[in-house]
Amino acid sequence: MNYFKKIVIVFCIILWPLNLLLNFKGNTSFETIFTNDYQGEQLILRNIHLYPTIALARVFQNKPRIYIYKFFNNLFILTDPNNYFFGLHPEPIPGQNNIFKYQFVAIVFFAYGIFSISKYKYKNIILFTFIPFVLFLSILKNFYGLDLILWIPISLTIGNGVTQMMIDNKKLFTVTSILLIVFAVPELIRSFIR
Amino acid sequence: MKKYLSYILLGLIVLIAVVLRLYKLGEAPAGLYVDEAGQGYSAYSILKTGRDEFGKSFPIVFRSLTDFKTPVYIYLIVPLIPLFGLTPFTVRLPSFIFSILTIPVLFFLIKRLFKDKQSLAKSKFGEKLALLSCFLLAISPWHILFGRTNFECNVALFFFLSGVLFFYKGLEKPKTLILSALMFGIAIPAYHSQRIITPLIMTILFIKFRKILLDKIHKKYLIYSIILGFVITLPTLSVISTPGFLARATGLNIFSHLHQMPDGFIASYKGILSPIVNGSWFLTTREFFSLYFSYLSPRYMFLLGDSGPRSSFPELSTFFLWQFPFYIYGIWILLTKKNISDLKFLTIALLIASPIPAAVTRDPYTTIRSLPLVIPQLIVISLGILEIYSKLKIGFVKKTSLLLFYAVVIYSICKLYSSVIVLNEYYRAKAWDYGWQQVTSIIQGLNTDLPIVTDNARSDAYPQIAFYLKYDPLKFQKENFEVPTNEYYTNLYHNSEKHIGKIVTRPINWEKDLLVDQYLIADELGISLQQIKTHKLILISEVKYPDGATAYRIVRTNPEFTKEEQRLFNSRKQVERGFP
Repeated sequence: MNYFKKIVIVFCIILWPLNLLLNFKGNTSFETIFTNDYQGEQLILRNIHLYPTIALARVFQNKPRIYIYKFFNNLFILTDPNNYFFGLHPEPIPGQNNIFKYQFVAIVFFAYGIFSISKYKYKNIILFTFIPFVLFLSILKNFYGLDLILWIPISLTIGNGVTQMMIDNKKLFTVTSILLIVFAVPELIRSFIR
Repeated sequence: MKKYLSYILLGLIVLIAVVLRLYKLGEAPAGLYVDEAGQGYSAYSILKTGRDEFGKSFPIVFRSLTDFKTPVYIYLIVPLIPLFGLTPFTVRLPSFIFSILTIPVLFFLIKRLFKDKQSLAKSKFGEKLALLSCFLLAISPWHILFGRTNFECNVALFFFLSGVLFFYKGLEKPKTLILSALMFGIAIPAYHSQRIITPLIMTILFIKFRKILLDKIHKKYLIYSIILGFVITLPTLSVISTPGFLARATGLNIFSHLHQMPDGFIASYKGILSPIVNGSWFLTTREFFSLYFSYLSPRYMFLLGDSGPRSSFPELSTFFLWQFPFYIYGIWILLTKKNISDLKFLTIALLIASPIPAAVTRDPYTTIRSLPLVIPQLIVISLGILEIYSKLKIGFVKKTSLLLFYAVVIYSICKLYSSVIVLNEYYRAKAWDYGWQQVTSIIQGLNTDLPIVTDNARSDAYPQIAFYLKYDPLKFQKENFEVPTNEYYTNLYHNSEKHIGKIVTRPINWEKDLLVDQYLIADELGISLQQIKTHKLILISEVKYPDGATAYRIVRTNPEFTKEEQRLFNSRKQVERGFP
């Protein structure tokens, strides 16, 4: 069973590095979101005249809002399960190669891993890597490729989910694992075809 | 006084909800979308003739623009027309009324879920949660949008939630099960997505409470309820297999690959592994789950929202950004907190079931089809807020956080004003078909001897024209035959040319239409400034959007000039061919 568990974990976590290796398209850069945004500022100026008073307009239309929006846009992408399990479908980032990072059935193990995290010996590693990494990536203009650093905490969580489910509910583990392998085959072949 | 405090607070919450939904109801969003006008005119036709505009007596689903609209909303408009006239306010009024009524229903439902919990009764946890959930619903951008506009989903949500409430009440007072069946029975035909959610939740509730429902006392009323529910849904069931009833579902679902391949389809790959790589079993399953999870994803809930211009407000998502940490914490609490088993069961059931009808359609994160989800997600957020607040021990911190909460709420309400009233009017006027009211009032001042052609190459406008002109439905029925009434639900033929007295809606045929002395009406693309100049058309009027762009142009043709031009053109051609 341990051997099977290892196969399941490999099937779960191999996709991201493999897809990045085979299908890496784009530039990685450390440019932050705090660079000047001319278009964003022009939009704010255009919106201001729609309000009855300038003071009221300034409450909703101001420069910090541009950066707050960009920060949360990145943060929500990095914390969105669809980013990791569904290539950010149905709203991918335009003009970017939104790769599939984990096989989508692995979301079951991921959820199980999160809700049993208190029992996990590496929970501190997960927390102390995921949170700072996500915050750091959220201030980058384009984190494409660099987000691979999140592979460690997420893969650990999935691994924990696989292990815990195998202990708690063998039937559920077997069914989920079989589904995972069935759906992983086309996903892995697609990595080479793209 | 303390006994009635929760009801006084509920009254205040309802008052806030009324203000937020009633302010400029019928005026904002400015304009009247073609579906809204279509429903309004169908209701007007039913009121005046007992038949819809195609001559069908009291339809089960309304043909309208051959998209077969659900009937409940339209029948709700009918009695309002004699009171308020045929206006945008009237067609949006049922949405407003039922969005307000949903709030007390939610209050009593949550309260009921805590009835047996003695341990929580002392702290009045259930009551607090009910009030907070109702308050968040009252200020919810998602619920406000559908409470200010003509969308059937909001009315359906009321009937659905009432069905759930009466079901729970029926566990104690079996007679109430009949009311539950009545409400569920109305919810099913009230909106497309309820055709899936309502039976699903009914089944889940039955399985959970089967022991109570099948005991001696309940059994009798359960049978009465099933019979009543069956009778109410019988008209719907009678047309369930017709192309008209299935028109919406077949056109939108992700399982149909006639017009669009599933997401991720690699068209360039035709190799031996195609059944695996592009297998619909794989791609459709993945697409369904990706759509499904998007409804629970904070990215869509708190930032992106619905991408549809009519189902969202600018710069506002379905929930407020500040609610995000409470949502995450609330989910944790929902799954781990003890003594909330009834709430946990219903909330999880709604969280799981509500996105299903929306996830089987291709559109990403559509808030119209997933509206019932607003209830469990707001309960989760409220749970998160209450739990965090209860964990604050120091009085000063508690008071400060309460003040902060009030400030955030006031900001949120101001944000609603900014998005719903200010920005929406400026940026979304086109999406709401702004301008037809002005066009029809100009039409009424035109020379009545001349015919009018309204271009419908891009979108049909006959519902708006008939609506604003309050055109006699009997005349409309006579002038616009589409299909025989016995083929009403089965024949999907759509006659795109409609006659409203002297007005005809059809694509402009420039070659022929310029030779007739008449008025032409079209949007900026339909009649460009270049066309006016080339054909020496007489510009009667231009209707502008709030941002200054041209919405519609009304011109009068110049047949004399066109004939002269044609004569010159023909003679030039003859000279070129060598004829004198």
